[in-house]
Amino acid sequence: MSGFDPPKWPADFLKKLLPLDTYEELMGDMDELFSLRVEEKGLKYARRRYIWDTVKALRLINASEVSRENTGFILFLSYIKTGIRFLWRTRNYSSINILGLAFGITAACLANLFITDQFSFDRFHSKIDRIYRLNIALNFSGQEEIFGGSSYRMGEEFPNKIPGIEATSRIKSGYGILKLGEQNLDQRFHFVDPEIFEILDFEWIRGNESHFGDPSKVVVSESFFKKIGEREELTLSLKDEEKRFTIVGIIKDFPINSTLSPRLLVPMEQWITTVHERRTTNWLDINMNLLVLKDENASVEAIDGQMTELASEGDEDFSEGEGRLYLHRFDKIHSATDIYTGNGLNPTISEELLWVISIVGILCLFISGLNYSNFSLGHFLIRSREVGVRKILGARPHFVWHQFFTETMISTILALMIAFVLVGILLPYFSEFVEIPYRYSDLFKGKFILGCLAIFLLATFLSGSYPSLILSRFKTVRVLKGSHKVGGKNIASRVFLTSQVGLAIFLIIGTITVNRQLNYLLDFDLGYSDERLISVDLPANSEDRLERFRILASGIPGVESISANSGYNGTSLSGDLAEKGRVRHIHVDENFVDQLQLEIIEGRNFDPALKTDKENSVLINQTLLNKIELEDPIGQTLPFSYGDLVDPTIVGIVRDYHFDAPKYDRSPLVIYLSPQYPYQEILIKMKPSFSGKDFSEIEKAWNEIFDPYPFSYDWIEDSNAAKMKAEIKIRDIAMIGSAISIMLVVFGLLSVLGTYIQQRMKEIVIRKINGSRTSDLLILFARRFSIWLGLGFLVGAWPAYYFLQEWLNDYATRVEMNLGIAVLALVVCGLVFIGTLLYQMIKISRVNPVIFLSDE
Amino acid sequence: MESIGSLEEIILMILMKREKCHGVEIVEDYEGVLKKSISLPAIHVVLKRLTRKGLVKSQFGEPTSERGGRRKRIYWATPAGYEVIKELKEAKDELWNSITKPSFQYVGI
Repeated sequence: MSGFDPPKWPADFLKKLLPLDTYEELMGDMDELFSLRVEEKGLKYARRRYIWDTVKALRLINASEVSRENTGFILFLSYIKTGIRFLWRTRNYSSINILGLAFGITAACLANLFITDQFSFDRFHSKIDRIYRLNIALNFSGQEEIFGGSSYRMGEEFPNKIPGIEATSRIKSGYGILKLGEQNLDQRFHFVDPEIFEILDFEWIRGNESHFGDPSKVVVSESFFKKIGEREELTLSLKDEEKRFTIVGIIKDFPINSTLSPRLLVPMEQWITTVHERRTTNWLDINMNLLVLKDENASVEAIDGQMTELASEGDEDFSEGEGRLYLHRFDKIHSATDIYTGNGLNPTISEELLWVISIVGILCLFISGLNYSNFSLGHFLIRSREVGVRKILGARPHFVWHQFFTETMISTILALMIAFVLVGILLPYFSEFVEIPYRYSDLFKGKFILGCLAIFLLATFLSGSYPSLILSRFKTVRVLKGSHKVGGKNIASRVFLTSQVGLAIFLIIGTITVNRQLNYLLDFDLGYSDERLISVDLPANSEDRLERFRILASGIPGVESISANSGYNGTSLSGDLAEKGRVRHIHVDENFVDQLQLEIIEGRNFDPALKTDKENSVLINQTLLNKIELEDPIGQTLPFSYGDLVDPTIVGIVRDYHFDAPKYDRSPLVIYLSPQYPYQEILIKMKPSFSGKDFSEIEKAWNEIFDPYPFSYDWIEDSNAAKMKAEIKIRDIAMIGSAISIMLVVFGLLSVLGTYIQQRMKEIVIRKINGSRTSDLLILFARRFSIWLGLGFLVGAWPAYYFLQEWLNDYATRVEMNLGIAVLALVVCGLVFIGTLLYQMIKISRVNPVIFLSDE
Repeated sequence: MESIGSLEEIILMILMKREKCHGVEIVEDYEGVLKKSISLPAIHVVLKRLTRKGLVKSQFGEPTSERGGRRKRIYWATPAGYEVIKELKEAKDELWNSITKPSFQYVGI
């Protein structure tokens, strides 16, 4: 040796890159050559050649003859092999578990589909991040009410006066009669400003927006164009005035996940011709929507402030009433069901439904993961020897951890494949159920696949992390010595058992109560009779014609009675009681109370013979009576004024009835005959014996009197059901979701108990050999289980009670929580316990007990 | 018969001359005979290629202290390797003998 050493770094560098044996040979040769060269030609030369050789050695990375020492990959293959063998050996229990996991993943995938779709709602507009809808919040005696609306004036002033606003467009639904040859059709459409084409994205099939400014030009959607027979012109009658329009552009229909679905767009100028001039100048005539395109750099808060300030300057009522204007993101309005709006911008899916679906999906995934955890831990004993041997041969804890994670991954992949098949099968039913026409191509969208990947990872993590952690940490020697109580396993499986029982009890109590409440809501006492009742909208300014219609229609054999009303309006009480908040009021005719079969609990109904009743009498409901706290109310005056009706006399008290959707609390109500508000609705009650012929006669009478307004009607019973539609959906999803989760949880309970008892087979067999009867054993084990059952009951029942009480408080009419359901849940869990125990006992009696005893 | 390149041929011949040797000796011989320098990894690549063709065999020797405790890999030619070189040599000799010597073309006149 020369005493000079070669540089160190090439060795470290090459060690990382080269296969182990190539490295050893090459470095040996290089070092040897280095010392030879130092002797021959000096250190500098040797060092230069050494480095040059290092660079050249990079060629050897792929030139390997012998396979690399690639332990990771070889181990991975071995994990897969043992994993599959293990699954095959325990195929009965593992198929139950994998199936359970598959159900959980299926539920999560469908929820994922629904939610990604909901979050893509309205996102197809390229400027969506800058598009807002104007909302107005008004203060009514301390209570803030929010409307998704604005006035004409706001749309006129804001874009010019606020620098942060790039463009605005008003949207107002219109209603007219479309003349198609001989046919008259009701037609809804939208009045819009031309700027809408700048704010939202439209795909033009023909024409473009440049001619839209002209009041006689309209833009239609492709489907509408087909509906009118591809005519270039159309005639629309607005407020009895016929107008001709030319189509200047045809747009593609908006996709299904869009709040707005424009079919016929008419310039805003047309609206002005149909209304009184003051509606265009009043700041607080909130009747339309305003879309706002914000400037990229402007702050929303600043715009909110400027808008509120401008409106306060314009209208004193606004500033006094502490009103405020603010922007609401356009892509959020589809789920804002609590904000009253209109004009074709209605929310479609309630946020509640979104939540229920997400929770059901996550819950199912969570339960099936937990089940799988329990299953793996239950089979701990079978694997502990194997793990012990692995550890003795040098496996470090994280290798074992990897092993069990790989095994879980195999199960999750199998479950995922089953889940994909299930999703494929269930997709048509699911889309029918949520009323969104999903296509199979939706299953290949990036966001959905990304979500599924996340579900897959979450499922693997949920089902694999805890068992592999436990398995990798236990003490090797004790396992091999034959002691089975390792690593706190007993505590772990007891915790799992208790939590499984708790979950089962929680779910059973929750499901039954939720379903009872929803059923109750769907089938509860409205307080009035909506049977055979139809509602017809009365055309504006036609009260004189109403009487003629009433006379004609009463003669039709199927008609029982006819009444008219103004719809429910709102105002506040006057005088000292103004602080008490808002009341609803309705102008009715003398048939109204009898027709709806409202119950008068004190006083009397209106008497049409009395002149005072027609002018200055009211009926009030119980809620209002409770609010104003009048004793002996009949004959007293009510501090209420609307139009000419000032401080009327109370003649009767009506039992509360639900004129709003049943979820809302009952509102205080005033009913009067005095003509302070025009009639807007006709209610016709049919006789039980009515037939279709009666309807054609009603229609005939209608056309005779109200032509050209076409006759259209709604069944009140149906519209009541429609108001409950969201609740019905939630009930169905809650029911299906909880049925699946209860099933999963019972699966889990079964397999945990099964493995628990299996591990105690030796004990059971010894007891039996020594003369224990089956009934003794049952009592013995029942005593052990009853402790966990009790614990699980506490863990499950208390939160169930708490959360359900919270949820029920939202409802005006509700069922009471009851103990019977909790007992039922307990009984179900107990039955699963006893069933599993009995099954194992029978198994023992049929096999040779030596099998269990000859283990060691 | 395997076809081999000229570097492979030379290294195989050095191996046959030495009967058994490791990489460093090949470098020494190569540089001694051809008066050209060569990088060690180039030799290793060729040796591996020859191994794959079945013309060379190798085995790890005992670790030695001069190499920092690392083992040498000792290479030797197989009978197939010998045959390849022999046939190549005979073919070249035949060609060489058919060249007219001396020709004016080559002596630069």
